Amino acid sequence: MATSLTDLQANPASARSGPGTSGRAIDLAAAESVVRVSGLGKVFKDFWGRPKAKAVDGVSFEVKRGEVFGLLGPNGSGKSTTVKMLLGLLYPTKGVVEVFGRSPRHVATKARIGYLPEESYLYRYLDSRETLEFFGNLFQLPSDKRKDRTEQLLEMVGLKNVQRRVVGEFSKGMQRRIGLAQALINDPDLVILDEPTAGLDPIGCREVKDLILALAHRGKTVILSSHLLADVQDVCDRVVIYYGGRIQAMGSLGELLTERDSVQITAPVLPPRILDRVLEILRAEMGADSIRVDSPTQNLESYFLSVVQRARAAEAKTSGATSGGRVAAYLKGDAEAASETGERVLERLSMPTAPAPAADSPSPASKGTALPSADVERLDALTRGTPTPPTTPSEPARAKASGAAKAPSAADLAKADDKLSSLLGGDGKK
Amino acid sequence: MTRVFQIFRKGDAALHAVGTGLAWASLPLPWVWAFAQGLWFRGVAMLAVDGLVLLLAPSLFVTQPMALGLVLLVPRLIALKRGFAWVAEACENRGWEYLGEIVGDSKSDAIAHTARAGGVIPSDRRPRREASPWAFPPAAFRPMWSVAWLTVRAAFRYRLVVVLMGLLVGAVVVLPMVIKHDGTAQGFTQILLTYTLGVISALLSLVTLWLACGTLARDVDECQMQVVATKPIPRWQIWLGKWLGVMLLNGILLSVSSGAVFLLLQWRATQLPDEVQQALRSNVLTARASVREPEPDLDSKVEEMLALRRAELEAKGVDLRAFRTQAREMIKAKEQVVPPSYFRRFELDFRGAEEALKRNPIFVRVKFHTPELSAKRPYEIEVVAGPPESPQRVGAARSLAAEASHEIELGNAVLDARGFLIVEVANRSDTPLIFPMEDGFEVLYREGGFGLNYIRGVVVLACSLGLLAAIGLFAASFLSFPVAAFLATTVLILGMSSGTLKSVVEDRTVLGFEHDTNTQLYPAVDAVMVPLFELLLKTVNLVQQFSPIDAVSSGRSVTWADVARSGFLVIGLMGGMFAALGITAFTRRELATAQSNH
Repeated sequence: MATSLTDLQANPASARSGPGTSGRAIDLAAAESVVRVSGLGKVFKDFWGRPKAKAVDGVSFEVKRGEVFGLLGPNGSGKSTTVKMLLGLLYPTKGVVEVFGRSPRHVATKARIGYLPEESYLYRYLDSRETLEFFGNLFQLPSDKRKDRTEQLLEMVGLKNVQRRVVGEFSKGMQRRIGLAQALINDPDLVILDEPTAGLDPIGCREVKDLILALAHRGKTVILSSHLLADVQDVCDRVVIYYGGRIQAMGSLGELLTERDSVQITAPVLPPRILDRVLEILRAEMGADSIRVDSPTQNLESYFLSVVQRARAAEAKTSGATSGGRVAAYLKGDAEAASETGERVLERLSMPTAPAPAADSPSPASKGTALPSADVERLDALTRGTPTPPTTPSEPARAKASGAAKAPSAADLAKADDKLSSLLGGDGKK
Repeated sequence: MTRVFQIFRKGDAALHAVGTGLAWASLPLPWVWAFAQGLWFRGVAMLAVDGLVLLLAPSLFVTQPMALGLVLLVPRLIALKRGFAWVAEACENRGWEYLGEIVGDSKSDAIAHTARAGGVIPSDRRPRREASPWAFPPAAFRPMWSVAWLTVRAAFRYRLVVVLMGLLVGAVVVLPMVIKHDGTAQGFTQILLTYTLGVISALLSLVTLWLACGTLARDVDECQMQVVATKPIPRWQIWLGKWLGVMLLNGILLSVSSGAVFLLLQWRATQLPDEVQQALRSNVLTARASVREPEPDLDSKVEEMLALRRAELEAKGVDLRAFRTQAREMIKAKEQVVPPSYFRRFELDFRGAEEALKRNPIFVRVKFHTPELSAKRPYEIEVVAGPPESPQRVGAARSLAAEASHEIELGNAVLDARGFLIVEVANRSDTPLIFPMEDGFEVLYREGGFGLNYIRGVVVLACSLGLLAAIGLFAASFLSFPVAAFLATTVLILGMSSGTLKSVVEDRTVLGFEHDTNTQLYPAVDAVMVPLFELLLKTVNLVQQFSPIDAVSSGRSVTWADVARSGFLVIGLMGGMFAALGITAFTRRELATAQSNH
């Protein structure tokens, strides 16, 4: 079991162009601008043309190529209106919106955009395959490419087995999946996702987030509007936070979320002797009240995924959507596709960067290997009492992602099984 | 030769292969093939079509082999194209799980390869797709075509087509059973052609407006348009795609229902007595050109008369408007009335039709009124055709009833040197007879067969549906569905009340006159409304000036020129105007609100 240390000491600010939560470094100054919004305003008017509501007021931001950009805000804060102006569905009252250097209403601009709306705005009488064929035709895809992509996308979103069921019969989660597939049929350079994980089960949420990261790794730009802050935190490089139609905060997650006055160190379980020494040093420097020692917990999403993976291994049947398959080859790029054939996105992207420790009884040595080297250096520096560069925001998130792949112990699994079972209405016992 | 198969799995072991592409095996007897595949409903439907053809074949095989062949061909082509898709759909409905497509020599080969790979499609057996060199439609039109096809598919999936098809064919079959004809060729035609085509036209007009409004307005209201509009398809293509879709649907419905009318008409005609059949074939089931005298310009004659007497009338203080009305009626009466023992000479321009006239007899169609209050008795008239000095004049005398149209066959007539046919209609009765300028006298002669004429008539009918589709889409371009449907229905009602429009325009008032002073009650209202009504009337007349149902029912020619004129005026001009307005409104429309519409 790992140990976490939290220090309430202040840290210097993180760099503007540091890596995002996804761990990818983006040079914002050099990257090509994909979306440019300047002084954007939108006033909704009533039947008589009198101003009714000022939905967006003086919003300006820029989204660069390869960024995952989050739009956050409470209901009615103006983020959906902004998204719809980016798509050319609403027209700005003032200000400028440019997508790929042109108006978003330009047909050539639309050819490079994929859009997933917040609800299933698909034709209820079309089945999955027909839906993708229809949207593929709108992009003038030749029949061979259209059919190939349809096949790959249906497999990716786990709807291949129900491809002839009409969308109107789908559950909300299945509708989100087919919605996501249609948004990707053109291999877009800019993907705009409005509440992409709404209505999805945890597996689907995880797959969508993995997909977003996969797209971003290919240099695609993703704009994400969501109420689910954890989703945004998992994937976004930068966010804007709206309130009352105005931007209240904007920046990288590192800039916005780092607690400048504390430090968290995650390490494998330390022998009491070493832990005492570390604490002794820290208490001597910082005072006894400001140090907290505990064990990090795995989040429920990660645990849920591991339970479902076990159930899938036991070949449990389902009449709904199955878990998504591999990311469609064309979305990964040809070279990437060739190297990753057969690899399931869920498994690939949930694996930690470093080799994972053994599942059941990890040895201290193997844990030591998995520990990022930067943490060791920082621990050393802390022990020596010299200042070190702050942890970039990607580190805790990556540590979380790593934790997701670690198999919990049998006792933990049994306990969590009971919790889940009782949540789902079972008796908590198998 | 390798082919591509779809593989399905049931349970852990059972595998099933379904072909792809064209289902050639279904071509000879599609219903047998359908039953063999377990497609019961489709099998029964196709069996019914073949059965119908078998039923009609003894009567119609000789006279209408093309029509029967076409009826046989349609289900075969549909089964050929869609057959494997039906089977695959049925497999999934029966619980088979689709695994994917595989290349194989035969079904068993495809299944064996899948089974050997452990129930998955081996990657080396997945089909490689290549772009078709003759892809239809071309890439530039593919988005618009997709929208059109989507509109058709929606109507099929919502069972609208099935219900409408049932209603239309039901009307075609049931109407002649419920309403009995009087045994004459005209009575038979009126029931089997005029009424049925009228019902089809009315039903399809309503449905077209409803569909056109719904297909666009509901897509906007239910937000599907938000997804479509973010794809690289210009809004004008969405609009035109919707129109095309509605017209494709109309094409399907009109073809099936008018085809049913045609076959039923031909079949029932074979059951009539010989003489009625003969009359039917020479008067109705044919395509006859119609020639009339051009209507005189009454207004200019009135003005000439007024110019001669203006000074005198003004000196006497006569109301010039009343004078104009009376003068017009007087001139019109002079043109129409034939007193007893007098004749009226008609000069009809037959230049260009000399050859047709040599080969075919002419028919004179007359209709007259009498000033008698009770015009029950017959009235004697005599009709003579040919140059007055010619010995080859042909003629006939008849006792005819007033207030009805009558046809008199005169045989082959001779034209004068100018290429004009001179026809004299003599009143041999003791009462003046009034031959209305609009439909009192015309000469008909055969210039083609009924089948092609019927098709041209149906095409003209489709043109008016095209205009209605444009009106519906125009309304839906800026209004929500209920409001758009209301507006479009209002336009339809206005179009059907051309009589009211005409009387308003003739009287130059909407709200009437003050009786005592004979002045307009509300001149300001009239100043605005009368020009508006005038414009509406001109528009309606443009569309209604030619009735294909009347023409086909009376055996008159619907010429290619009529078809082209309808296409140009009704769809090109009128429909184009609504399309331009609708596309402009739709392009400027914001397709989203701040929040979801749900």
